[in-house]
Amino acid sequence: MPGCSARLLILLFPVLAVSWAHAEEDDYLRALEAEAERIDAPEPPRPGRNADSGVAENRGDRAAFESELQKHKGTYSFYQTLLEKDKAEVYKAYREGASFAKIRKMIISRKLHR
Amino acid sequence: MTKRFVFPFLALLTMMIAAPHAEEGGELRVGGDSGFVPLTRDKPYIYVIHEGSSVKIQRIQDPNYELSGYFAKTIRKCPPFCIQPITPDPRVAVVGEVELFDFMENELRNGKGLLIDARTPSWYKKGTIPGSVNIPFTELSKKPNSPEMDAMLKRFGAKPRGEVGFWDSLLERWGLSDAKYKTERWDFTEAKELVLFCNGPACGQSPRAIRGLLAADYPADKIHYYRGGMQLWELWGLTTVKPREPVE
Repeated sequence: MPGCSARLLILLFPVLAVSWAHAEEDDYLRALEAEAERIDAPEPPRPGRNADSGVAENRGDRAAFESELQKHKGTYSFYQTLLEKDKAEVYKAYREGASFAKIRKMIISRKLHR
Repeated sequence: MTKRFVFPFLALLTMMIAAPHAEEGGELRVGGDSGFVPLTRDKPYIYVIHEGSSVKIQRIQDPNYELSGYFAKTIRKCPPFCIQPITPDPRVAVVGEVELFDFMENELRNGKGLLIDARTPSWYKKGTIPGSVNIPFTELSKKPNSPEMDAMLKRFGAKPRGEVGFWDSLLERWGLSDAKYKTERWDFTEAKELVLFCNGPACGQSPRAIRGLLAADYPADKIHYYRGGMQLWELWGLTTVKPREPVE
């Protein structure tokens, strides 16, 4: 009887190996997709980084920043076309207390040199 | 009268002495004092065709530029996001940014090469290297001899050999006819040089694609791995593009 189950295991091994490989592939794909989705979500504020900058903490969230930016139509239209990572970089500079002139310069720079 | 000859002579002498020192000093030759940061010492920027439009690749001209966002984070769960070996296979050459610029200006421009972003579409649509095409690693890891893999090899310029005659086969086996890029099923002589990349040194997508290509007998010396990927490309502040065409 034990010999029979060993033989069955040997026969099933290729099938099991293929299904394990597929499961591993699927897990990897799932992890990749989850990671990709995570990037699309706006970056949460990191208090540790801004602890020494009171200005940054008082400058609201990203939605507020973007609505503020909408008052400057030209700059905002440039901003809208930026890659997500560039937008995040601009927002980070804003949170760290950058002047509007610097924000505008950053947006134009990212737009023209990307 | 003497002054007319002495001044130009002294100016010429000064230039001759100063020139080698400027070279040794490692100063940027391109752009001079303008503050422009070129791609390399002798290459300010390059142009590539991306989705039918010409795109200029250059460094971001912001002295305060820092890597930010996703690629600034270097600690991720491992597995699956583990640091990759220098190459997925010892037969496959690894390239850096400078070699990639050369590839873009030569093989890519004259149609003999293909720059492959091997990431899944959800990553590709966030931004990619200009001149690249998106062929996800899942497409390049299909079984050898499967119709999907065969279609991919044809796309890269490989030609199916069909029935190889007895004498041709014999001559190839004896080394009397050139069989360097020939397998039983494929002739890879005209196959393109491929450069594959993904998210960077901790990304397993392009290594998987490379292993899939090797399993399908694609010649290893026609495959190159840009290990730095998007992370290093963005670290250097190089131009990225957002794909215009809808990705399925």
